Amino acid sequence: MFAMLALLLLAAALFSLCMGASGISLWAGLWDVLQGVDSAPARIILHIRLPRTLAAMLAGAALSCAGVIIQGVLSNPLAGPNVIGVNAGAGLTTLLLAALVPSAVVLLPAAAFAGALGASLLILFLADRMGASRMTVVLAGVAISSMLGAGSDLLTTLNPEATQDMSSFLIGGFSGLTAVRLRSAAWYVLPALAAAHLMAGDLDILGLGDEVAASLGMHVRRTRVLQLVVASILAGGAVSFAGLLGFVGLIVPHAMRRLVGGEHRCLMPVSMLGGAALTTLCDLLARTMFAPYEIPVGILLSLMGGPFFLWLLMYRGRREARG
Amino acid sequence: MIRLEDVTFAYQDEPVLRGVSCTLEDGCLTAVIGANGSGKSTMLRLCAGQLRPGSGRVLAEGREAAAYAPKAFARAVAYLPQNRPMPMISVRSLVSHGRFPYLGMTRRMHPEDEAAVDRAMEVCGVSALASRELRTLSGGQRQRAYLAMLMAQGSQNLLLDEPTTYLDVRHQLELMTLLRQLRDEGRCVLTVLHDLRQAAACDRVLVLEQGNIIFDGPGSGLYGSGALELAFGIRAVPGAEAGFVPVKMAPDGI
Repeated sequence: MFAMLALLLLAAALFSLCMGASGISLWAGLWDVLQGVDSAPARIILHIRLPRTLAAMLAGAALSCAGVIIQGVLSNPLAGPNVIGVNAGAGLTTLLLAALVPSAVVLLPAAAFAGALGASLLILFLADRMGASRMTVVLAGVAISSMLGAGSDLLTTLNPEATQDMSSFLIGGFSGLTAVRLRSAAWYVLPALAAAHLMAGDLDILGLGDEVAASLGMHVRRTRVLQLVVASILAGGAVSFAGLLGFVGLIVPHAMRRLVGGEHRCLMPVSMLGGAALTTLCDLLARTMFAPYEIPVGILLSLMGGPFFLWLLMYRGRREARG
Repeated sequence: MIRLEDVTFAYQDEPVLRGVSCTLEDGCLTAVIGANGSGKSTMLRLCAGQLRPGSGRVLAEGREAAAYAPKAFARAVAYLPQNRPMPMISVRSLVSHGRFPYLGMTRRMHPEDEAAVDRAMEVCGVSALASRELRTLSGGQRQRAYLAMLMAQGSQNLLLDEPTTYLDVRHQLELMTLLRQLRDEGRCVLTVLHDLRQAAACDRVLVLEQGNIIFDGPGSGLYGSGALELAFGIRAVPGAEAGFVPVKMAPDGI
């Protein structure tokens, strides 16, 4: 499964490099890149498609891993960074920074991280406080998510100039991508991805329930917070350059759990690959389907991901009904 | 060995344990029985270090839980709560989690950890189920898998909260046999039970009533002690050790 997803990702990345609005030959372009020739195809590949492909891969991987962590920490398959307000929190602080200090591009990931962390800790606090049945936590998350989303909307309504280039941000997509944003986010996201993998086994222990986890000698609360910090860096980092890409963080962990089971040491890398492949493919479609016009990838992800997710749920329903 | 010294505990203002003292020896299978709300599970959680006593002391191997690092405590005391979520993992993974208190930062299992897991699965009869998903097992198989996890933990003291609930009679008996095996290995086993016959077959029985121990003695002495009347409002029918009749009705008729 791992190898298959890796191949799929590789294929998606290659297609993403060679297809686009302008019909250039990949091989000619790549050859020029490798030779160091400064041709038009080389420039398109190097400066437009490569960053974009990398961005799609990074955002997909980060959001999927964040989803795995959040679902694991809250032991709740309905949770996801976009459902419980983690993305919305990151979005709000990003917009706020962009509106107040437009020049502070390098700080965008940090602002997004702060927003994501704030939202996830708030959820954790509420979950603790309410003794939290799974449904309550999700409902609280939905409430927080829509509050933070309303904050973002208010900001764009009151201050349309400062947030003008942010309209695609709210839907999520890579059209406004700049190399600076991608690079500054990568500094946060890549180490967080590594940390997510190293800490994946602990999610299995948390999955045994608080009492069992504590009786095995785990610092349950500390582990939860640490995991959520990593998830917040991942989601915040992704949001800072890809906008509010919903859904990836919810559906990819689900789909992968179907394929490889619930053990996080396996689920984490598989979700990372799956999320990267899915986002890359969606971005490819988003910019080629109606070329030279392009639809924000966030729209496409929801359009395609929604039915796929429903199909998954129905398939599970049937399987469980059969016993 | 676990020792409770005049332990009290209250949830908010509601006292649950009112001065409980006892010493649970190694190589002894002890059952705790009592009506709902009598403090059985609370007593177990206190022994497991999950709750801190309001007053008095709980000592595991002679030291208070707070004096241990969490993993060191887990190596001394293993605890199986009654209610647990059902993770999507295989039996082998579950049993492997029992080794968590022995793993370092990398969480890498060493050969001796694998050996402990293999042995625990064998003793509990779940080796053949190793690769099966937990949720595809029957209740009895699942309970044995959890017991294997507890065994893999290798702790001297084992605490189980109603491990036989939801099991049919045969699986209940199998589980009790397993607990006796663990006792024979010299461990200190403490289990909350609902079934009086199984409790009476244990080495030692504690009967809790409103947070007090009202009977502490060998299982064979349970029926004649009068403790069942106090704790449950029932008494054993003379000559028919396995049968019970109600002697008084609770006000709500149950």
